[in-house]
Amino acid sequence: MKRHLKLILLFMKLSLMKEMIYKKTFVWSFITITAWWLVQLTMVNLIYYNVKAIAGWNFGEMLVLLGTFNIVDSLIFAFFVNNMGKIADYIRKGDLDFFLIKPISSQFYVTFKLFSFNELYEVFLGMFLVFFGLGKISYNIPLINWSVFIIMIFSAIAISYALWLITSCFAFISPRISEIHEAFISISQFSKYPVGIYNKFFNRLLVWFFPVLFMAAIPAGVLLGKYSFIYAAFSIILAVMFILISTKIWNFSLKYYQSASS
Amino acid sequence: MQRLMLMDAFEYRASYWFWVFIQTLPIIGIYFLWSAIIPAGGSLKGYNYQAILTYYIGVTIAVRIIQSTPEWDLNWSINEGYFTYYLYRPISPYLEMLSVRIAMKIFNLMLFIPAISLIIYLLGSNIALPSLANLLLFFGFCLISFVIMFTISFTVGLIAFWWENAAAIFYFKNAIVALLSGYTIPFEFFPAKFQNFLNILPFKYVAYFPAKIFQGQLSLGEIGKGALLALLWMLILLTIMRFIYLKGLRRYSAVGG
Repeated sequence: MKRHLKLILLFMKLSLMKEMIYKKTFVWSFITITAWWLVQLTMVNLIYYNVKAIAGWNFGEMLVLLGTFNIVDSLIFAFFVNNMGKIADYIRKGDLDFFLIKPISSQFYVTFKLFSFNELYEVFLGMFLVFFGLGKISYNIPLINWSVFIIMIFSAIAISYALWLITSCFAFISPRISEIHEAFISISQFSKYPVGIYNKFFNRLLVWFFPVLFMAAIPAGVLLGKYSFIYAAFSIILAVMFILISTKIWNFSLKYYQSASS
Repeated sequence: MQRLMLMDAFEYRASYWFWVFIQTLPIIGIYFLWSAIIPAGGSLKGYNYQAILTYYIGVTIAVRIIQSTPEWDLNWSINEGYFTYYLYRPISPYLEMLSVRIAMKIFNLMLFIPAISLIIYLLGSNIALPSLANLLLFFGFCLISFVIMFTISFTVGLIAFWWENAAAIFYFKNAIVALLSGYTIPFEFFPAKFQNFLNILPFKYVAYFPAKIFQGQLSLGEIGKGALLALLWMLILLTIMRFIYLKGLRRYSAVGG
């Protein structure tokens, strides 16, 4: 475990050095992230200018939801976006060979190799939105809700990672689709909206079978006291389950990998 | 040349259904979100539930036709020095990239038609289909919009002459276009003063205006006026592009020798 943490830190250090080469890009990516954040905020603002609530969520609550999404989205992007994006490449070019002979699990290596620091900036934007939104509704969130919320953020990251890896494993079947990891990014957007807008079928699908709603919509609801704490227990169970499943699928998929050398 | 690119695109048909899937997802999100915002029988800013979905379907189709990303090719070819090969050819890089894009577009649209038909079929009475005349006007207008958007993207791509790794600016441009074109939300939802501002800019012709034609809300006269203004913008943008291109070219040959 200690060795793994040490390695992650080392990977992060190397990634930071790489990113700092292009300083201007670094600064511009802050501007870009802010711009996209403002676009999304403008849309919500304009909608709430005309309606009081969407599926029972008022403006302040919606901002908490969006902020939560920003936080989780930003963390999983920082850790995984470059890594998941490369899996199809590794397979096509046969680079996976190098990871398989490393004295550490190939899943670990593929997962953490590249860290993207400029994505982290969105965490602050997200936190700002959460507190700003809470200020709009002006009721006190009990401390217990906060602690449960933070636990749920961690399981949200675990669940998202597992789902992302599982989707990316399709690259083993069809490495030609180099954008396969984008499927998860598209699906994850469903967590930006309140759970209540979906019909029964999509609700079940996105809560239990491909639980992206645990990424933001459900944690934000628990923080605001809309859902009971039982959902926190569910999120932990789902996180453990899906991490185990993703490892199983990764190891299974490796059997489909045809090495470049043999 | 165009035939070659077409064949190239056919090679990648394996990923077709995957792309259909990815493209469908946002429409599902929009469908559920707006059905929660506008209750059955109600309306908001002149849009009832059916009208807003029709608007977004129109935007989706228009963007699919209009969107092209020459800036990435420009960025790559300028940074790798490959741009020199473009200069050897008898036609200008702008025209060459434009014609290549058109060939790719024709192919992509052929594939897109079954996908969008399926989506429209599934939405059924949730949207109001345009009349044949409006549909033809819509496609015709999208041709002008295609050139407008291509020119804007190409101009932004020229930044690569001055600046290695301009990717972040390209994303920034996308954010601006998404907001100011009506892609994110129809103009009617903006405050009145800001709407006037949006109506002057060229971005309008990339999403909002075509979507309005698709909805069948514009008269023939209004469409004609819009087309004239769009053409005027096209000329202005082409002039700006040409000016920056010549400046950039001087810099390119100065660096490359």
